[in-house]
Amino acid sequence: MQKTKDALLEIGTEHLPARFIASTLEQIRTRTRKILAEKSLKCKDIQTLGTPRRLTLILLGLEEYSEPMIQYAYGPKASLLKDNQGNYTPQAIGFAKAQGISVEELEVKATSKGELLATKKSQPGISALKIPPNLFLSILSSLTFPKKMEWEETHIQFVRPVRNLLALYGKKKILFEWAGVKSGTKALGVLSTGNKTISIPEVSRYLTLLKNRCLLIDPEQRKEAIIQGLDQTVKKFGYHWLKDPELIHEITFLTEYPTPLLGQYSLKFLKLPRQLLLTVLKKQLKLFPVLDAQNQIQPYFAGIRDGISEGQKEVQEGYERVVEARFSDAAFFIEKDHRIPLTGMREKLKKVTYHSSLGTMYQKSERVIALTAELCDHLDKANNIDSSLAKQIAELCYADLVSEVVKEFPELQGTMGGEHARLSGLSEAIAHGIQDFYKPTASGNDLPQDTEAAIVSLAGKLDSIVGNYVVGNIPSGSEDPYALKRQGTGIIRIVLEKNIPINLKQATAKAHELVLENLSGDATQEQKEATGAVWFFLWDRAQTYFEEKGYTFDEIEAINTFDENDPTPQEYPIENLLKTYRKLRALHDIRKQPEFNSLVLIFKRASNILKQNNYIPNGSNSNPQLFCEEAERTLHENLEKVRALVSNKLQEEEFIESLKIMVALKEPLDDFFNKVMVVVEDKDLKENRLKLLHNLVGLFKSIADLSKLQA
Amino acid sequence: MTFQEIIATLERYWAKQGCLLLQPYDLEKGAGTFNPATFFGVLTEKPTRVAYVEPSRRPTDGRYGENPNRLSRYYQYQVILKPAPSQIQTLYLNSLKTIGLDPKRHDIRWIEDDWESPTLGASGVGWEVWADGMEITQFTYFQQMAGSSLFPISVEITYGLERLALFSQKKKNVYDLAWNEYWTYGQVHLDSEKQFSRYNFEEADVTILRNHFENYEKEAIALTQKGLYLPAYDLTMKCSHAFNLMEARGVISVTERTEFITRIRNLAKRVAQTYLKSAEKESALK
Repeated sequence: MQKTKDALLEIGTEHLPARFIASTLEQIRTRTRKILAEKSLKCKDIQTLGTPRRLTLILLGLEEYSEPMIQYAYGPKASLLKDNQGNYTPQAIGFAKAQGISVEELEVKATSKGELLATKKSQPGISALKIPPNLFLSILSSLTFPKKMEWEETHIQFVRPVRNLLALYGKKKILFEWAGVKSGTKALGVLSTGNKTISIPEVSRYLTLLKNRCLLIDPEQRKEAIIQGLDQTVKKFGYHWLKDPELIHEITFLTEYPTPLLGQYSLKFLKLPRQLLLTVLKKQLKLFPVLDAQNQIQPYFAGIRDGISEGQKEVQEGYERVVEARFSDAAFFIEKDHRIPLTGMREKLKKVTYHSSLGTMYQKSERVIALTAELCDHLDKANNIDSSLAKQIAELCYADLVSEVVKEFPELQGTMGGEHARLSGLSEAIAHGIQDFYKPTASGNDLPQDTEAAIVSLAGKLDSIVGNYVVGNIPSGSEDPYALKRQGTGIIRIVLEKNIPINLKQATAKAHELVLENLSGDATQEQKEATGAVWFFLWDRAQTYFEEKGYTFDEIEAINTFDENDPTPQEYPIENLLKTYRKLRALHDIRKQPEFNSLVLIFKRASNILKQNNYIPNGSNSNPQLFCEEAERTLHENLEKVRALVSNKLQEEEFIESLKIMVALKEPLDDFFNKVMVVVEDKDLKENRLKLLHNLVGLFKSIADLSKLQA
Repeated sequence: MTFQEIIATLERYWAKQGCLLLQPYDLEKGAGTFNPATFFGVLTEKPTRVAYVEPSRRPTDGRYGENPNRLSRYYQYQVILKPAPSQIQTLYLNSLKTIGLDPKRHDIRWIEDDWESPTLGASGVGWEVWADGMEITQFTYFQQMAGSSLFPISVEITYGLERLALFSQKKKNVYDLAWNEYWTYGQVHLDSEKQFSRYNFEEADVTILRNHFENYEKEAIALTQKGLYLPAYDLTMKCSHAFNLMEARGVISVTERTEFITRIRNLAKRVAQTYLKSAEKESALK
């Protein structure tokens, strides 16, 4: 067993962006693990900790020396060791000499280049003291950030300036220099109290010494401190606070020593729309709302300050003034917005460009109205849709984009329109519809509540997708600046989860027609044919949705009627997405039956035979007169019996029931393959048998192509 | 501390740090960054330390004097240090102490905020600094100016003077701030906010502004060809302000907006190139 000590690196920086810290610590761990393995250096544990001003790496129980490494030096081919007379060749002697050994000591090693003369070169272990400088340097230079900067003369890039480096192995300083900073034995201090550095005599005392200076460098501890601190503070008043996990995470990485804070604001601001109030507190001030037992917002806020509670009263009053000022701002905007009715705001959309080739937001709004009307028409009367309600929602859904509040807080689009509609005395259904228009949003999972709102929401999303496809803004890889993927998924979810039997193929075509009418300039051929790409895109979104729901890739393939090689499938899977989904569920369920798996195998055999014989169906049924084997007659009879049994069920889209019945074909089909040769000399006989198989395959294919399933 | 005391105190503090104290540049501009001392100052390798008050005009931010926190014209205190000193954060916090803001007794936050000026072709990395929730400073390490990468890197500290005063005087409304012991901010500026909001949003003559823009641009280009980068830069600033006014009038479409911004940026680049060429010549002569 080697002796071990702990090693420590603290990268002291100016304030790192909160959103990068956790991922950077993760990078440091991964990188360290990799480098230690490369250097054959062992340690018990790798720990990373951090605050906005320091990234800390602790290697617990790092061995003093790396493992000795054994390497070989290779020379000429093994056949050159001795000549025919059994004497060492000059090549062998030369190589041994160069390696500083006698020729007798040469070994023969098999390599990818054949057998070679070789000699073992073992490299002794390297002192851990020597490795960390390189280790630490390579960590520092390997970290990646979405955005880097320069700040000093070596041109080194990092996310924010590095101002201090602490590097220790046990009690010993590890020396190196990076970005103009020499490593030392001092940790970065607390900025607001003068930035005095903290001497660290040995690694094991690092955490305690920092804690003594009120630095909590373990993010988990800070998170605990935030939650417990605020719990206690707010509980005193008999309230609780809205524990927004996103904000807690952000504040964890905005502070080195979180101290709870509670403040108050004027009762009058509770009249502000709830979402606006919450947004101002969270986005502008990074504060948490305080609620009573009924979850009603109270005129208090909970927050965190960085550092000890010196001057707490001043800090609290400072925050209170800012909160009041921000709320006054918001109230000012609201008041100004409410002077203009929503219909008036809609007029202002004429001045807002949506896209230089796609016209104004007003034109977009007109397209959404037209598309909504079309969708309402197409949906069965049985769906009981109030198309005039849908029209009203469609007219006003974009109006709030010109409101002061939405200009200030874009994330409140929809929400503010809904509030405004209510205040202008429009019906709750309209207000709700406007509010739900953008759902599901990036942050929320909710769907539009009413069917009418759901239809308008579909129309809006479809117009955005088709419009962007027409002007060439097509998402690629992870690049999706117009959030088309999210909107596409939104469409799929609305159709499936709100159970709206809409034909997405036709709807896309209509949206496309409307977009082309508004397009500035003549449409290119590509723009005229953009619908195809949108169909694929929507199907792709649907597949992703299915996969997330736990359906496997082969199941989805089996129900996919979208064949890239077949330009005119009978029915695209997005045409009746609800039906597609029912097929998928049925298939997924029936697979749990043990006999289904063997059915899949023989089904594959049937479809392979058809494929190998390039069977082209001619429409007619197989001729029972031509059957000469018992097994083929039985199969035919069973097939017709099953077909009769399931025909109604298929009509009613009872796919699972149908599949359960169809599984009965397994045995006769099995028997058929055991006893009957399909490919025979007699052409008529062969044709007739292929026809039988084709009919059987066809019956299954009305639900799913089982040959796509992995057995 | 009164508004004018804050300014005087900052002036004294930064003078002690070796800054050249300049007076505001006598042209309309959107931010202290536009001041030639910053624009040209950060471009070359020559070390520089300057500090100055800069009245900044943002026509679209006008609120007719009705909003307690928004102004179409307000004051920045701007400090440029090149190269950026390694203790710059402490240096900055010490400046806050001089105006009575002790960082120990307040919650000072450094919130990531990268800065970009598409019209100047400039960008930087840094923070907005919060004191008890109020944004009081924009703190930026310039990375680019007029499309050129910079070396050495300058640090820019931009204090919002009204914000500092609100903080120091514990006021909620900017018009209630004490400018000195006799005058309030409102007495000095409320009328101008009202009148300029009307001018910016309603009265500014768009045709004249468009013509101005064209003429300024033409003249700026001609001047750069003669190596007169300083007057050419004045005209670039004038273009920028004319554009800001047109934008406040709400007559610029999104496409047009992009075009105007590109034209101003191209002017800024041209001016910067002219300056760099002449600076090169100068250093070659030495």
